[in-house]
Order: sequence, then structure tokens, then C-alpha cells
Amino acid sequence: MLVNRGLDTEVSLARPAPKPTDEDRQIYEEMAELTRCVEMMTQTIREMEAPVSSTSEQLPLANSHLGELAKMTEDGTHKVMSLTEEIETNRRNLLEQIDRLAEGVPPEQTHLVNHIRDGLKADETRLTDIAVALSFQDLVAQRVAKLMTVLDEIQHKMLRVLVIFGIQKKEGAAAKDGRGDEMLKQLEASKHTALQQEVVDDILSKLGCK
Amino acid sequence: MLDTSIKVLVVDDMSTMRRIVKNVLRQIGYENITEAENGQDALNKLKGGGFGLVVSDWNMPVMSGIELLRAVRADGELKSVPFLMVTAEAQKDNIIEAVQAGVSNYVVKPFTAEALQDKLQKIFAKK
Repeated sequence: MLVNRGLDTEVSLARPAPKPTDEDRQIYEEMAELTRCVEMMTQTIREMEAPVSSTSEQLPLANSHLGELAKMTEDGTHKVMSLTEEIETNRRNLLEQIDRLAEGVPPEQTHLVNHIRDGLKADETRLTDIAVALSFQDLVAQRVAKLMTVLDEIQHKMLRVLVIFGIQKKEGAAAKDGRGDEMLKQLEASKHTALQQEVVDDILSKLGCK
Repeated sequence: MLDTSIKVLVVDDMSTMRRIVKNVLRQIGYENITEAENGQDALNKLKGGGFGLVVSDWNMPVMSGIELLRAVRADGELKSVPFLMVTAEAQKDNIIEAVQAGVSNYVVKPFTAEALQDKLQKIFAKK
């Protein structure tokens, strides 16, 4: 509480101290309340500083892990692709051998050769389906890249918060003009607005592109 | 019937996707396939001549698929090369932008071999 004791003492020598009015008491109470608020804010900022600082240091690590994750899925996909290609080569060789073998097979056993040939042909479609299914990796990598940009942006903003609290107590919300926000919006939007092939075809058709 | 003897350029910054698209194209019957890892790389290769089809991703560093498409359509020598966009960018605005830029057709990732073959047949049926 701010009270000028010197003036109070001097005045008391000349005449009795005036009794505080209701207005004075109200001002003192408001000042006390303001002081408590400032102390509480200072304490809150001090408590927030450590976790914010720690999180902003952890974010680059999280980003790095995400990058590794994308690399791991890429390596895994290449491995599966290589094995798929080897199986496909093997399948083609077997088909050629079956065709040669079929020439010397007695008529009553032709159905067995045809059965093997049908099985090998069906595997061609399955192998292609495996290869195409691996395109998930590209979608994962694209989303991971967007998340990495978001994390980078968050780290940048957290560092700004630390600096701002050290200089001034209060400022409006951080500006939402970075690439991170844009990427986050894109990720969120793609959940609801990404179109299926049929819808894309319909739009293409309406635009005169069938 | 598709003319599978043509030279195809597969453009994608992800090596896995280039490999997947190449494998599917091979299964359809295409054997003469060249790869490019971004639009600029693709444009340089296209200017070398001889390509009968471009299969391109949208999101790529250096030069995106849509920028490549515009560059191809603006080039007197390349403007008639069929251009198939294979992309995860499946927003309505993207499709409209691609059509306005002169895309021949559009396939959404993840796609099936049948979808790719169907689109190729439609592209070449129109020619």
C-alpha cells in the first residue's frame, strides 16, 4: 500500500490526521487488489517460463523424429517394392516354364497345368495391388512434412512468447500469418473436403474433361 | 487399345511413388519409362523430345506439377503431349485449376491400377 509517512508525520504535528473518507478506503482497497493481481500474474509468468522454454527446446527433437519416421516408411516401402518385383520376376519365369511344360503334358492332365497357370496369373493382379497399396507412403510423407512445418511454426511462436513476456506483460494473440497455421488449416480441411475419385470424375465431366 | 510403345515421363519427388507408378505402367504394358524428380527436371527431359505421355504429381519442390503443366501447354513443341495428374490434392479448386491449365485427366492418390489404366484409355481415346 502506498502511503506517504513523512507527510503524514509532518501534518500530524500541525493538526490531527484527517480520518480517511469512504472514497479513500475504496481507492486503498482497489490498489491492494491491483497489487495482488500483479503479483499473481508475475508468479504465473514465472511458472510458465520453464515449461514453455522446455517445450520449445523439445520441438526440434520431435520434428527430427517425424523426419526419421517419413524416412523409415520410405525405406520400408522400397524394401517391399523390391521383394514384390522379385516375386513378379519369379512369377513370369514360372509362367514361361509352365507354358513349355504344357507342350509335353498328356491331355488328361492339361487341367492341372491350366490350374497352375490361372493361379500365377491371379498373382499378377495381387502383386500390382500390393505395389499400389504402398502409395500410402507418399500420403504419409506429405502429411508428416506438413506436421513438421506446423511444429516448426509452434516452436517459433513459443520462443516469441518467451521474449515478449520478458519485455512487456500484455499483448494481443500472436499473429496467425505463418506457414504453420496454413498447413494446419490444410490438414484439417483435407479431412472434410478431400474428394473421392467418383466426385472428381463428376467434376471433370462437368468441366468437359471425361 | 493403348499404344504402349510410347515414351512415358513419370514425375514425382518421392522415389517410392515413381517406382509404384512405373510398376503399374509396366503391368499395363509400357516399357519405355523415364523418371523426373520435379517439374524443372521433367521440363528439361521433355525438351529433349520424344515423350508421348507425362504422368505427374502436383506437390513437388523446385517446380510443382501445375507449373510444369502450364509450362508444357505454353511450349509450342510440347503443348499436345497428354498430361495425367496423379495427386493427393483432391480439392475441387485443384481440379478446376488443373483443367483450366489443360490437364488431360486427373487421378487421386491412393489409386488403383484399374483407375490409372482407365484414365489412360480415356486420354488416348480422345486423341
